[in-house]
Amino acid sequence: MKDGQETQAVLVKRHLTKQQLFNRVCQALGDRALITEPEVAAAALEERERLAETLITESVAMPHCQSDVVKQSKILLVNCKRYPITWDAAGHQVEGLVILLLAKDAPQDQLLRITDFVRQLADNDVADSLFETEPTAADSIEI
Amino acid sequence: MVKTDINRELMNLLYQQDSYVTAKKLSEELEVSPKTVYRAITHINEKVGAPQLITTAKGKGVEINRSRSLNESGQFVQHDLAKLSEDTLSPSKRRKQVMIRLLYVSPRAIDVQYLYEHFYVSDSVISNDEKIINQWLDRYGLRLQRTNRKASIQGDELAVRQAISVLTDLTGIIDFDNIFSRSEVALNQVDVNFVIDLIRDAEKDLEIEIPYPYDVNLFSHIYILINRYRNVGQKGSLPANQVPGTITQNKELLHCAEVLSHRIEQYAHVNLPQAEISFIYEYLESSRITNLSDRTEVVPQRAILIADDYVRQVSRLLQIEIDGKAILPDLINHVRPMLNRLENGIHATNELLEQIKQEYPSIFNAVCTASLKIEQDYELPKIPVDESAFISIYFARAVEQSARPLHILIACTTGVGTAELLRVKVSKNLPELVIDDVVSMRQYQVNREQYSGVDFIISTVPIRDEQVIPVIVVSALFSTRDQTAIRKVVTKLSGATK
Repeated sequence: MKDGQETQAVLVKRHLTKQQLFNRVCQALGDRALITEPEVAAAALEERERLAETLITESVAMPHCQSDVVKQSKILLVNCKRYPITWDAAGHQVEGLVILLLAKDAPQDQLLRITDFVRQLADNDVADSLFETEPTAADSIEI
Repeated sequence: MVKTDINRELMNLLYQQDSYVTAKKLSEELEVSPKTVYRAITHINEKVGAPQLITTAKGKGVEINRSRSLNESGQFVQHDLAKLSEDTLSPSKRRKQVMIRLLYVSPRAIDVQYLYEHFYVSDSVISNDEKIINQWLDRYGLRLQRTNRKASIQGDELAVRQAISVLTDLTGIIDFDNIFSRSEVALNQVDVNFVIDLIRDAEKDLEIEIPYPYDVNLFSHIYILINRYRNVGQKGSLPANQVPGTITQNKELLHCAEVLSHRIEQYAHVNLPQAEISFIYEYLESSRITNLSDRTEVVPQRAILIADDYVRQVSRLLQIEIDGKAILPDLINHVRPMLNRLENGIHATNELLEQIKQEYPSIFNAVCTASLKIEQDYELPKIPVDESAFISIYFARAVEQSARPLHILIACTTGVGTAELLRVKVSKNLPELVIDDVVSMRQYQVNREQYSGVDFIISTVPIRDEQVIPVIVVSALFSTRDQTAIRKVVTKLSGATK
């Protein structure tokens, strides 16, 4: 993961539940010192999902949270096409996740860049196309 | 006895509700006991499995579990309904079929045993059906007559046809292509095709288009007419004293009515009296025919006065200024055939009646009040609520067009995630809304006063402590259901801001 880069690819290499995925992703960022308390960040993502699910297309979800434990804001593009995750009670199978982890003191210009990126996802084709191809091992965190 | 199934009707009723409904209300609608409603709910929930499809809340009633039934394509719902169907008839559908059969042969009687042979119900059920059927028929001045083992329906021919029309219920049919899939009553395919061709040919000859719902009204009238004559011959003809008579007749429409009648005679091998030609003419005259208005005679002064009166009275009742110039031409075009319908007892069913009542309650009530006054002032027959609902649409449009745009706030937990996504989707799908800001829940809670001017909030998460400004919680998918919920609030607030 390049320092300062906002977008990071993640490749899911096994069957995971939603909760397991949050834990593993946050743990991976914790290992890289981007999150101070991975379990707090995972709980924040889960809490957001509990309030309302974050599906943005039939197969893409956008979990997000803003927390003190996030040291550097990140957009994680999680490709789980090979191991889709059962997302909700209706049985939606999610193949890609756009996880937004926002630092409490994120600089304004960074927030604007993230906002611009999110607005593009209002087009379902754009959101789905993010996960059409798998990222390479060199470019991604594997979980 | 065949197991009578209220499950499907119960599901249909629940799907029409926006929130909780009591078992008592459901039992009244379904004409069964509350116990039967509860039994049906248990049966449905057992059939479809967990999670429950119908949930109950103490003190509130029952509600459809939308998260269980929610599916963009409706597949889940269909699946659930299919499980419940079991090819059985509910009591109301059974009674409907019995009435339709008796009405088509009225005044002739049918052996009761023969009438009920496919339903396998007991004498007490039949006796109960008779009571309910009689209550229903009473609305039309008709009565069920029981002599020995036979039953018949007695009453005026016009009332018989109106009752058949209501029971046939073609109100959901906007396109003739859907006539078989949407009608709950079995229709004769050959007759249906003949009547559709007849109407299409009439439109071609007149170089006009008969708009919905008048085309369906005309269809229904001719279809019923053919089948009345076929079943009971001249006993199904209209009495001479019910022959309508418009003073100024449009020659083109009159000729068209004569051609239609002649073709019906040839098709059904019947002789139609002059009364039927006159009635078909009145149906044509009562339709809001497009492309013909510029060829017709001067609009009657009465229609202009009544339309003008509607504008004045509704404006006064709603305490708003309605631009007469904007609304009057269309309103006059509606009132003119409406007067004809009223004079001739032609009922134009308004499929949107319930929706209009719900979405524009103040406008609808004002129009109904105005209708009452106009009935008296112009000595008109009673103006049905369906007609008032049609008129309400013209006023709703005028009110909406002159309303100030609604200001909204979009929120989510961070103000960056789903909220920003929604900003784009709302702008694209509801461009009439002015988005004042996109905020996080925290931003909103801290700066609440700053947003006191917004009309409502669209949020992807509930905002629990908001008591003043309406909050619509939607999914980030921004489904059709979400958009409908927003439109409902827009409609409600648009009325309220005036």
